[in-house]
Amino acid sequence: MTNRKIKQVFISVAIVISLAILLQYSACRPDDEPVYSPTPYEIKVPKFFPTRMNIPADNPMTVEGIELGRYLFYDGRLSGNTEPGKMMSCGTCHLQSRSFECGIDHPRFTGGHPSGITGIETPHVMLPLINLVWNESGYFWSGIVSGNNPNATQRTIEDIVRMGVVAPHEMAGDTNKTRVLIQSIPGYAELFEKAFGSRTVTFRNISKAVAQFVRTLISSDSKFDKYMRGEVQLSSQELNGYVLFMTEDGADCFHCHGGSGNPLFTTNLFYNNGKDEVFNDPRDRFSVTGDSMDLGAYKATTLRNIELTGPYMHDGRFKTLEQVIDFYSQGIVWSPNVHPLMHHAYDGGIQLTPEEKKDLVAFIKTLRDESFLTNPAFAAPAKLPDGSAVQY
Amino acid sequence: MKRILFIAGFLCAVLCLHSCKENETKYGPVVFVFEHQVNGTDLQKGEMKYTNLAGNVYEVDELQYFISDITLKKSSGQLVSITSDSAIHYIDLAIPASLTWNPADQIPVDTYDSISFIFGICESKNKTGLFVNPPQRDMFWPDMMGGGYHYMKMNGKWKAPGDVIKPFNFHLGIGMGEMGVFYQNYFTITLPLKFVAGEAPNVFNITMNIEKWFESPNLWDWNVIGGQIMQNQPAMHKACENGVHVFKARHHASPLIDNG
Repeated sequence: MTNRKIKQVFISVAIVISLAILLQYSACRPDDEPVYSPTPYEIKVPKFFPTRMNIPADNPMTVEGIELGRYLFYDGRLSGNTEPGKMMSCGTCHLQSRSFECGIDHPRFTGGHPSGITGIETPHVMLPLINLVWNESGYFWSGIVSGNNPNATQRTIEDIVRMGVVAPHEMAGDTNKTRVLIQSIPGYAELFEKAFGSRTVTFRNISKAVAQFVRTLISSDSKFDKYMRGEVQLSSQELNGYVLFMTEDGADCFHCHGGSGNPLFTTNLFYNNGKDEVFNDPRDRFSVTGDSMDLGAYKATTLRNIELTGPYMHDGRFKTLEQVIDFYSQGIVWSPNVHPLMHHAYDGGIQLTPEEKKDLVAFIKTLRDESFLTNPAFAAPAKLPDGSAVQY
Repeated sequence: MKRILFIAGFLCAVLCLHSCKENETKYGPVVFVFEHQVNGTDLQKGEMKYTNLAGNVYEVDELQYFISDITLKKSSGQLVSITSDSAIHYIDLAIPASLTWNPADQIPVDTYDSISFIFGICESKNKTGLFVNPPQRDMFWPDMMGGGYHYMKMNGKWKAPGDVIKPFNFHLGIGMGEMGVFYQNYFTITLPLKFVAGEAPNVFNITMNIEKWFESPNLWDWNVIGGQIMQNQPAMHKACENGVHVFKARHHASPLIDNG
């Protein structure tokens, strides 16, 4: 074999090997792998609503993340349990028909005060999951879960998901047990891959998915919203109540609960509204700020769907809206810690007449948002990813 | 000859460029620092230890307000406006970051005689919906009372006769008169302030002397006026007349920070 021939053979072999490598590489290239390309989800900001949203930079909203989050929100195995009676999901307590609170008529939680798997009651009654994507001032009655919390594990809705799983008065579980169980359920790995690019379930991604779903729970279509958009008229009784709501010399609700200029119907801030004279709750706003002005102060709740979210106040002391109005009218207790916006406090309240009370209740009921309460996108899915039925 | 002409032309061009550079206006950034005092000392919120001219012992718990359309008047009479952020700034005692405003505006290096600003928001801008995000949003003023935004919320308590503690809400905004007449109530404050603006950050300390809200020309007695004034236009009018005397200002240059 001449040198020339040896060279030709060598070149031919090199070409064949190169082609083989190329083919091999081609067969493995990412184009042929399932591609992680979740679909961005953009929240449509309703008219008059805030444009700034509380969405962590490391958890952008995606269609796939929200879909996964909805399954997890309603899957009782989020608790890490599979035995009937020991399962618990977010949806166990957060009922869509009750504005994502449990409501006073919940079959399991007597009087509307929820308790966890072990039977321990939650320290406070519930707050609704409405329009939380616009809450910048902290979650829970005290606002302890907020971006300002020096504890980096108590800042976001994602953190609340974890807290709900491990809290003794909620699921009383552990995140690893939940993660392993969810990983073992057929169908979830694919959903995690679509949402987060990996079939491996992590608790962080469980939290992110549920938080994404919760951020879609937007109420903006009550009768009052329609009135503001010029689509309907309020009745004369509702209008009378609206005037009371919005005037300082009336019931003066708007300073804390918003109104025409703040359609969230809460400032999301914290007030001592004159319920007590002595303050010893370790979970009031004072427990977060250490400011004596915050003793006995709690978050002003949104009034959207408020007629469905009894019992009322942080400890659920009032069962009906009428009792709440009676309290603000004649039942306020004066103390040096009462917020100065409770300017009728010294007189015991705003002193409404029976007719005015009815008017005010009529207006507050215009904040009921039926399309929110029945939106199929917020409802429990017909089946969970493994084809099983939703079990709370 | 050509060489002489070329040199002459070159010299002219250099001189002209030099001259242009000398006439070029220099600018310096501005910083506004908002301070709040009672009788010359820094306000301590929540402390029932202040006494107004009418003898009311009081405390201030919350203070939130807007100032807008800041204008600096040069000694030449020329006006320089601060236009960043729609020329509106929100101040809130509970939000330390709001107590300093660094607008993007730069002001010409020159001598100045005064500073003026609007307390509140002028009628053309003060429309509901201007702010949809907190905290400014929560200053909204009900549409049925004229709309727009509170110019100020000062919330606190005073000691009424018999040592009874009562809340006050010293709120200013659009006032309602009879027959559906609205009174805008915002007002302009002009403070003499001679200073030379430089290229280093020009810091303006704007100090609210809280006691002045209750002194002149209208003596403020909560026991007479009451604690709430949103629906009391005569009271709001008196407060606005007093408000003209509430602020003082000073200017100093902040050393430039060399970030190397």
